[in-house]
Amino acid sequence: MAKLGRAIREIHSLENLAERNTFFNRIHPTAKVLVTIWYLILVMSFGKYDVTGLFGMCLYPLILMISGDISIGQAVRRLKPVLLMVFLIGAANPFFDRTPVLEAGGITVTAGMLSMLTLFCKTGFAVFASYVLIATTTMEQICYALRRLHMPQILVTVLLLIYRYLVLMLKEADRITQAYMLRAPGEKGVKKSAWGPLAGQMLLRSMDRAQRVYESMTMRGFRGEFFLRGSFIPLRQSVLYGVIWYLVLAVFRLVPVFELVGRIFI
Amino acid sequence: MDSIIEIEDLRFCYHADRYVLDGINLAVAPGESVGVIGANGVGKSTFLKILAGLLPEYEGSIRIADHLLEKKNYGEIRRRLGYVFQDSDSQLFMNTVEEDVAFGPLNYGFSREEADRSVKEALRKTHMEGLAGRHIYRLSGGEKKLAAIAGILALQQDDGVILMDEPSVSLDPANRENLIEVIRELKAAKLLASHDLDFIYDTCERTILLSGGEVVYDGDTKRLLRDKTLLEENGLRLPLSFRFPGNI
Ligand SMILES: Nc1ncnc2c1ncn2[C@@H]1O[C@H](COP(=O)(O)OP(=O)(O)O)[C@@H](O)[C@H]1O
Ligand SMILES: [Mg+2]
Repeated sequence: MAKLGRAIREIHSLENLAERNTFFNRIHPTAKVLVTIWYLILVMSFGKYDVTGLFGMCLYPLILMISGDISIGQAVRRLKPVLLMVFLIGAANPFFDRTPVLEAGGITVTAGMLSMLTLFCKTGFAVFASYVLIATTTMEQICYALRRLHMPQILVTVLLLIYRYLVLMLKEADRITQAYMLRAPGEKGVKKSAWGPLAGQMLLRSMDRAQRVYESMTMRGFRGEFFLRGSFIPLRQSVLYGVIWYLVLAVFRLVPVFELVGRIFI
Repeated sequence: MDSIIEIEDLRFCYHADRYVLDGINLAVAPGESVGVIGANGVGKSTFLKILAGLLPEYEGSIRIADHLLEKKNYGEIRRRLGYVFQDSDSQLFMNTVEEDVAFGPLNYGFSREEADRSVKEALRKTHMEGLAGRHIYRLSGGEKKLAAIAGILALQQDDGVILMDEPSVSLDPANRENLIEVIRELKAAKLLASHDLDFIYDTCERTILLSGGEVVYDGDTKRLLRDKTLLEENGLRLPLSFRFPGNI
């Protein structure tokens, strides 16, 4: 199916993004992973109704995407399914919690609306921040950073294998549905009666290939260690990058920057 | 000692009821190139996988570079022995050719400079210098095969062993010629499993023929490939180069 082919191409083009040679790509992955984790913690720590404070946090992914030359439109398109899911989960809030909190231009804003908005922002920001990380850092680099941060070896290895396995599974699924379509012209999608064997075949084949990939890794000495390759900016600059974001994000968490800026004008 | 691979009375079965390999003896000298031929399903791939340590439950004894092939020696042996999978797609897992070739050296603790040097050298030996930064998914079938070989070469010196399973499958003539040239230039000992007899003829001086789990011929490739009856008994055909007497 065209959809699978597209998914594979998307992964490859994300990998291409992650391998560019921009400033952000060349920051030490540990610094980027740490900043991302810090950002996620801060975003999640905002209160249920603290929308104004939360707004300020959108600057981090925004700045990175603009200066890192990562297309925002493309990101939105890619993340659409995730964002849609978040939307569906949060959309019920206004119906449950109808306590009015403020009146603006004749419209009553309820607590439910606020909490819905906060939920959208929180997950949306988290998703975009993770996207920015992935778009500037290869999977191997992320694994390397996680190991440096003392994440257990087994977890990191599993993460890497899941990622590789996912790609293999997509490719197998693509191949098998293509083969199906070629012999079933004029059909839209795969017939229900063929789902079982098709899925079974796909699983077996991708397990087989996953096994071979793993064998190939161990044949070449893989023991769960990751190595950093490529050229990076001097370590001191990476540390500085981490420290600056650490502080800036902390300030944004503690001070509702947007509210203050608003007050200046009002 | 003079053989780099020494196999004595090797037996192997996937299921207890049938031995796929049933008493194989073989010694391979350093730098030697040995073809492994036989009908489909005779156990060529199984044989190579055993040597690569991927099927550890074999009977008999196998020594590679003076080490007994058993779990505790895998690290040492794999440093010197590489296995080129029939399906190179599963063998290559990093993003670019260069990264993939560097995977082995880095895991074996080469320094950055050493790793870079061995990657370069391996790419040169496989005629892949121009494609170092290329993405794996943009490579042709032949280039993938060469990248897989480079990944092995980056780990070993000239005294290594390379096992290849059906290396010539689905290559176009130009890629095939190139692969033959690369293989002939390799100094490592090689075992090439294939049913492409023309390919074996071009790359191996010595060939073994497997049948019924045993080695039924071990010797000069040319002599074997001329033996129409023996080949046909084993589901194989004379290679094209031998079909027309004028050729040789
Ligand atoms: N994973 C497996 N489990 C059970 N039987 C297998 C497996 N792999 C191969 N075989 C069987 O072992 C025999 C040898 O297979 P193989 O080594 O792939 O032959 P060749 O490479 O010469 O074509 C075949 O009969 C095949 O069916
Ligand atoms: Mg085979």
